[in-house]
Formats: sequence, C-alpha cells, structure tokens
Amino acid sequence: MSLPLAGIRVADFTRVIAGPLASMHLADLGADVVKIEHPVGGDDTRGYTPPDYHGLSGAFLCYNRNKRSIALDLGVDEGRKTARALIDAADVVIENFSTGVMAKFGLDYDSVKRPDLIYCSTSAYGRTGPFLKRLGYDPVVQAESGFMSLTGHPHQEPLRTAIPMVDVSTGLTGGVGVLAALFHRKRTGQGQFLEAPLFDTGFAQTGIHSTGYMLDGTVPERLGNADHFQAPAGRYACEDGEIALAVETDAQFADLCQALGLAAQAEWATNRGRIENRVALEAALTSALQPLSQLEVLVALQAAGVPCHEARAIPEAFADRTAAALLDMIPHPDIGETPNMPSPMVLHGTPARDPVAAPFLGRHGPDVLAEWLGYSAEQVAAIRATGAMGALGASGETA
Amino acid sequence: MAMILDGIVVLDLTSGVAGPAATQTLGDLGADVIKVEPPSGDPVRRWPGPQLACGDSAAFLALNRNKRSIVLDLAAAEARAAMQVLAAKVDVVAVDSPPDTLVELGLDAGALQGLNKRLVYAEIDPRLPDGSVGRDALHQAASGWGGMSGLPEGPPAKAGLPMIELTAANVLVQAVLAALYAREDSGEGQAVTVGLFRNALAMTYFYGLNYRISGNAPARHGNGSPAAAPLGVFQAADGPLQMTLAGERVWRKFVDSIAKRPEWLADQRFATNSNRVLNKEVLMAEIDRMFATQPRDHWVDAMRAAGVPGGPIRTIGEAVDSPEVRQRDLVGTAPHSAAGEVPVVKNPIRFAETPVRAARGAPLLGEHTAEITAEFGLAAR
Repeated sequence: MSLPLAGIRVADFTRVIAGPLASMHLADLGADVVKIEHPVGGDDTRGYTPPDYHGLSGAFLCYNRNKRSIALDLGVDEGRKTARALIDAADVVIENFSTGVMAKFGLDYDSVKRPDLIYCSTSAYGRTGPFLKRLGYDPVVQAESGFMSLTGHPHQEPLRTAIPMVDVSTGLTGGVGVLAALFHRKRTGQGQFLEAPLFDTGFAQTGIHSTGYMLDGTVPERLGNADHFQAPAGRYACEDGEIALAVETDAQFADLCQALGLAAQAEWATNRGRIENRVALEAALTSALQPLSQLEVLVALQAAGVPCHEARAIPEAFADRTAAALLDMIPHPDIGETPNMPSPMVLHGTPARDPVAAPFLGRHGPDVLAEWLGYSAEQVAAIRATGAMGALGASGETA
Repeated sequence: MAMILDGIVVLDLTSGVAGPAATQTLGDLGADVIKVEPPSGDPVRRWPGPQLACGDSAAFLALNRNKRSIVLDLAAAEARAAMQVLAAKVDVVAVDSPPDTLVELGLDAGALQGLNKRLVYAEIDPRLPDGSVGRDALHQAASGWGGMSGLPEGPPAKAGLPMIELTAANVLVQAVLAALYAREDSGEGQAVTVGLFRNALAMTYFYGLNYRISGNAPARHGNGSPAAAPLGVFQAADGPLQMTLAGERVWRKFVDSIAKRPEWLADQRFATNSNRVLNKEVLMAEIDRMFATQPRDHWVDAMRAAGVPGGPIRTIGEAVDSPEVRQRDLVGTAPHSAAGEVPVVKNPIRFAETPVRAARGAPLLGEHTAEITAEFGLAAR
C-alpha cells in the first residue's frame, strides 16, 4: 500500500499555528503540501526565536514537517498569477487569512472554485455572519469561549494554556474536515468549501461543561489540578517530589485509603460524596502524602491499582525511556537533521512517511513550479524578475 | 443531502472522553455509531454535576450524541461471540482498553482483522510510560505538558478541559478517515493507533522542541510573556478581560484609540517593547486603573473597533449566552428518548455541500439492543 494521501496536492496559504498544523497532518499522511509564504520573512513562526536550530525556530519546525516552501508575494501581479496556477493544479486549498484577504488577491473560494476542488478556510469567527471581520487570536478565544475560566487555581486569575490549545484544536478539526471532504470526493468526485472557525471550535470543546449549563444553569469553577467529575484527582507534593493521581472508582478510593493508611470519612465512599466534600478530602490526602517519599507513594499506589504517575517537568519527562524513543531527529534537506516532535498518530497498514524537517523559506520554489505547472527554468526566472518570488538567495533558497 | 460517512458502521467499545468524542464526530459525519456498553454503562453516564432525570450526566450527553447503544457483557462468552459477528460486518471498530485486555477478550486488531479484512481498527492506547493505564490528567503529568501552564510564582495548572483526550479524539478521527480513504483503493482496512502519552508529548510542541534545541527548561509565564508587554488578564469595572498587545503597531493603536493617553508614546519607560517589558508592573497597574473605570464591554468594543486583540474572560454560562454562540448557531436541542429533548453543542465543522448530521441526543443505556440484535442477526439474548 502507498501512503493514504499519496498524489494529493495541497496549496497551503496558512500561517502561524492552526492552519499549518492542519496541513502538516495532511503532509504526514502523504499529501504533497506546498507552503506559499511571503518572500520577506515568510510564516511569522519563523521569527519565533530564540532559540533557533541553525536558523529555524522550534515553533516553525513543529508545525511544518513534510512540507515544501515556495516564496510568493501575493501583492505582486505575477505572484498572484502563480498562486492561482498552483490552486488550479491543487486538490486542496487551505488558508487562514483574515476574512477578505484571499478575496483581495482574487484567490477566495468563489474566484477559484471548480467542482472537484476542496477549499478549507480556517477562519476566526466564520467567513459569513456578523463577526466575519473580527480578527481571531488563541488567547482571546480561550477567554471568550469560557475555556480560560476553567483553567487555573481557585482564587487566582484564570489562565490560558501555555500551548495555544484553541489554535491546536482548530488545526486538528480543520484536518478532520479536509480528510472527510477528501473521502467524499473519492466516492462522489465532488469537492466543496468548508470551514472550522477558531471560535466555533474553541467553544465546542467546552461541551462537557456548556451542556450542563444549558441543562440546569450550573457554572463550573476552576479547580487547579483537580477534576470536575472525579475525586480525588490532582498533583500532590511528597517529601521529595510531586505525584499525580486520579481515582476513577469507589473501589480504587478504598484501596488508596488502605495503601496510605488514610482514615476515610463515611461521606467519601462515593464519587459524588468525595466531590461534595472535596476540600476536606484534599486536605487529608495532602497531609497524608507530604511526609512520604515519592517512590514509596508510587509503589504503594501502583500495587493497590490506583491510577497514578510521577508528576514531571519537561526535562524529566523527556528523559523517560518511552519518551526519548519517540523524540527523534529527522533529516533536513539543508542542515543534516533537526529535532522533531512525534506525529501523534500511527497507521499500521500503510507505510509511515519518511519524515523531512521543515524547509527554509522558498527552498522548493523552482521544483514546485516545474513539477506542478511544468515551468521551465526560464519561466521561473521570468517570474522571479518581477519580484514575485523575492530575491534569489535572500530567502535561503538554493536553486 | 447525503452525509459524508453515509453507510459507514462504527462499533464503538470506548468509554470516557477520547474514544466517545472521536466516534461522536464520526456520527456527526453520518456514520452509524453503535456504542457497546457493559450492563453498568459507560461510567461517564454517572459523572456528577448536571444530569437528566433518567440519571445520565450532561457530560455523557456532550460526548455521545448521534449514537445507538447496545448492552453486551463481554465477560460472557455469548457476548464475545456476538462481538465477532458484529466486527465481521462493520467498517470501524473503536477501542480504548489496554492491549493485553483486548487480547484476552479476543478483540485485538489481529483477531478482528482475521474476520474482516476491510476493517479499520481504531485504537486509543491509554498506557502511561510505565505501562499502567491513565486518563487525561495523568498523561498531562507524565509528559510535562501539565507543568507548563501556570503563574510564574505559583504551582502549575493543568488545562481546565481534558485537552489531551479531546485532541487525541480529533487525531483518531483523522487516522480513521485516512484509513477509510486508503481502503477505497486498496479494499483493505488497517489498524490505527493514537497513544494518549504519545499525543501528550506531541502536544508540548514548541515548548518541547525549544527545550530540545536550547537545553533550557521552559518557565511558566501565566498569562504574560517574557518577550512582550502589556498582555494578560486585566480587571474592568465588572469583570476580567484578556488583552494581548504584542508589537509596536498594536501598542500605538491601543494608546491612541483605547487608552487615549498620547503621552505614553513619548514616555521613555514605555517607548519600546523592551522598555515596556522592563516597566511592566508600572504599566499594567496604570492600565488596570484605567480599565476599572468602565465596564468590560466598553473596553472590548473599543478593542474590536481598533483591531487590538482582546476579549472578555467569560464563564461557561456567559459563553453559552454570548452573541457569538447564539448568532453562529453553535448550540441547539436534540430529541432524547427519556427527556424529550436535550441541549447540544454542535459540531464546529461547516461543510458547504454535506452538512453534518442534525443531532440525535445521546442514547439511553441499551436503548437499541433489540433493534441492533435484529439487524445483525445476533442470537436473541
């Protein structure tokens, strides 16, 4: 079997995180993803330094694996013309500009549509409706969607997640949309426009709480490292380090009490009782764990079958043998190899793509124009002469 | 209009969050999702918090719309035999038990693929690095992900939603769709796996990669940033708001159109981003004093008009009742066998030609046992 998306061409106009994550998963699955970037600076994440790995930022490397880059200035006639030609040769277009930007370039869905084209807009608040012009940012949507109100400790300010998880969810949801559209096209020949807006996705992921609010008006509070639905759960300090535990059943709680010699109150027998008496329970558990060593707690809880683990910071977590085996180096066309974050999915029947690290800006312009459009070196030179591809060498291009 | 996964049947053995969220999306796309539950049901049915009169929790409703439920006690040999009959006929089997349990039940990929070569076997692997089984919070703790967010001076805070499982759900849907796509040509299904720990590691993204590049352990920055100011959480007269001013252009917009304090542009302490970072506390205090004079909507409206990134920090209730949610039609109701109708949060993907399925509320435990038994010719039980 070949890679699932072998032969699928993706014209990728996305920048920053949500869109590039969507197209990277398509690339991981075998699609030929061509990243169209502005010749000056390219994708903003290229500039998210320090640190850098031979000129490439961590943020750029982790969202642009397995793609090729072409530098095109869409503000220049020849740049727009070339981008349109790439769209006409593509199976999928994906973009996450502000509403109106692709239209200004004549590259919006209505301008370029054809029956078999799949066109995905990862918009902020939708390409239609009263909020279409509003700009979208992960921290703003974390705030507006209610997500932020759930993250952080009680009596402290609400927190956004360090990794922009609304961007991430939006990218993953957009990827689902494109794959579903590809499946539909495979069966019917029909392409279509689709969108997975940032706000809609950010709000949808609050479903386990917002459904409850709609049912009876309950407004959940933030609980630090505890859990809204199961208790006890959280991170606890031991004498020499932190552990995390998450009790899932009443039987596990009884085993936990026995393992730690904790005198259980009668009202702690059920999950509901433990949630209602969370404060007293947490206090008892905290003082029971404090004098013990991390290792003795983990050994005792594991022997008792209570779900638990050492709570780790990144350096300890990455030193773990299982983690280290997944944190590989992958080849890069110009600098040998780079560190890579693993793709979260494994397909056992189709071969894994031999990964290639994220490219320098404009690295593949001539190759892509030759392969997708059949342009000769002279034609590429003529486009370049208009300034549409930026200056040769300035972008790190080696052709 | 046709739905994308019309005709695709999913046999869903998962419970909790990740698996059910994944199969729910497949159901939204048109698949017939058959949720197989033990006689005690998916434990999420009994999660505390808001619930229906029938006892099913709101969280269960949020993770199980557009599914049918059959009760099969896999401890019984005849139930396992029924599983074999079903697995031979469906397109996708979704599982989230540890691999050795699946082998014991005869429900591992090899066993089921032997019955059905077109089968897509979709697996959430719940194992922690030490081989024990854990859900979202333990993977956040084990991967380092859960240690990255939080105030610089305070303890870390995990995400307020089970983000490792919710993202794993979307990744699993991608893998299933890719496998179904490949099957159209090859005629053969395959097993696909999303490991919760592997996903948590992947989700550390640039925090993880920057650590690997620099060797410096990432610090917690709360809602701020060591590289830009002013940004983070501010208090307006009636509630908190979030504002992100990164870069000179946005700073000038803020000063001119929102703060209306042109003298700040000339103030040496605030003249450049690096000076603003150095004098962050003075500046943030000035802004907080100003924001405290007006309600949140006043400032947020001004920010939106000026193109300054910011928004109200809403509670879940405020979010549900917000104009964005209402006007974008993100919530609704769905029919439910016991409650008549139940609230739903809709799938966020909008397809122009193949709308996602209008929601049917989450099924009661075993609601469709007889119907599915008859459809698949299972022995009467």
